[in-house]
Amino acid sequence: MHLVIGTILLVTAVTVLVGLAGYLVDRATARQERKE
Amino acid sequence: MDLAHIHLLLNHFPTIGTIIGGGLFVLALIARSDDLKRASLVILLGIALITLPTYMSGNGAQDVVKSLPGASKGLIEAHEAAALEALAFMEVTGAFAWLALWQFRRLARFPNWNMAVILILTVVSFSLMARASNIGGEIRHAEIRGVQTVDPPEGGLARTVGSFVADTPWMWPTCETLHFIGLSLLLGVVFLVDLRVLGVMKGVTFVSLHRLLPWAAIGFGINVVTGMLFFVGIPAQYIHNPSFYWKIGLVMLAGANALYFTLFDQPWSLGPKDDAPFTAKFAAASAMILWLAVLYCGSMLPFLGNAF
Repeated sequence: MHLVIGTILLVTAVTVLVGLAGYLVDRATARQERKE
Repeated sequence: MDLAHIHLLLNHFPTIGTIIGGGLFVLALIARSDDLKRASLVILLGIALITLPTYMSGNGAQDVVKSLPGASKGLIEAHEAAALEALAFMEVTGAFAWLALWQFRRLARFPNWNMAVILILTVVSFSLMARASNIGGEIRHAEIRGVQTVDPPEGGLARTVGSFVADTPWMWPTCETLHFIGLSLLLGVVFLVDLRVLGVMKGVTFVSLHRLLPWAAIGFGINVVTGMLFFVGIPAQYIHNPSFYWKIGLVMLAGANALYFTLFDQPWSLGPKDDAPFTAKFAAASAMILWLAVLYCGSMLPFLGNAF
């Protein structure tokens, strides 16, 4: 894989994945807090 | 004292600590005691932290042991591979333990799904730790090798991952970029929380900032994964580097400090316009100093210790 394309693709993919994980944790906790 | 001594000092903590933390956790589930759950999760988190220097010092011990008569290179590499698998599961266990502690602070209860996840991860981590310890013991103790006469083949997971990281052109720069993204997330959130406790933006409650802590934990997680990939890629440039020893020691202290803001009542009760007590301010100031020192030691790896 080309150096630039490889790094950009991987960094974007990991950032999106961990961003999604953080967003889901935040939403789920906020929903629970509203319920209680 | 060299890294072999440090490895001998640390290498029982992950296995025995997981038995203590995991046993206490099972007891807490049976007794339905939130206090016991909190104590056991703190222990599991502590063990996850201490497993990092245990693994890293193992590479230094490897340098010393491999030249001794009777030491099998195959067994040493099998131990390294088993230790890397155990480390990976222990770090994931620690991450879920921290999340449970954070959730308890916000919801005043532990979500059942997370308790189930931690229970499964603890059992798997303990099994892998015990396996790694057993292989580690076999390296220098012929009496426990049993009837096995053929050494395991050289190589294994750690060397496969290490070669992939070191030899793939896009792997190192990708990990470097992600390491900086993780660092920004971690320090950004930590400094926001610490500055509020120190008296900046007093209109903001601590409860609001506490909600951001998982983002710092995600940043820390990214940095543990990418940092370990660097280490497994070229261990030799870290195990003789004093700047790296300081960095890891400071990360341990900063990780322990983070528990205060995750769990304790003093910062949690800070409302709008409230001034934090001295203990909370001390913890906030020390957190900032510790993380800045971690950042400094990381940046100075090539200059103080001749890495890279």
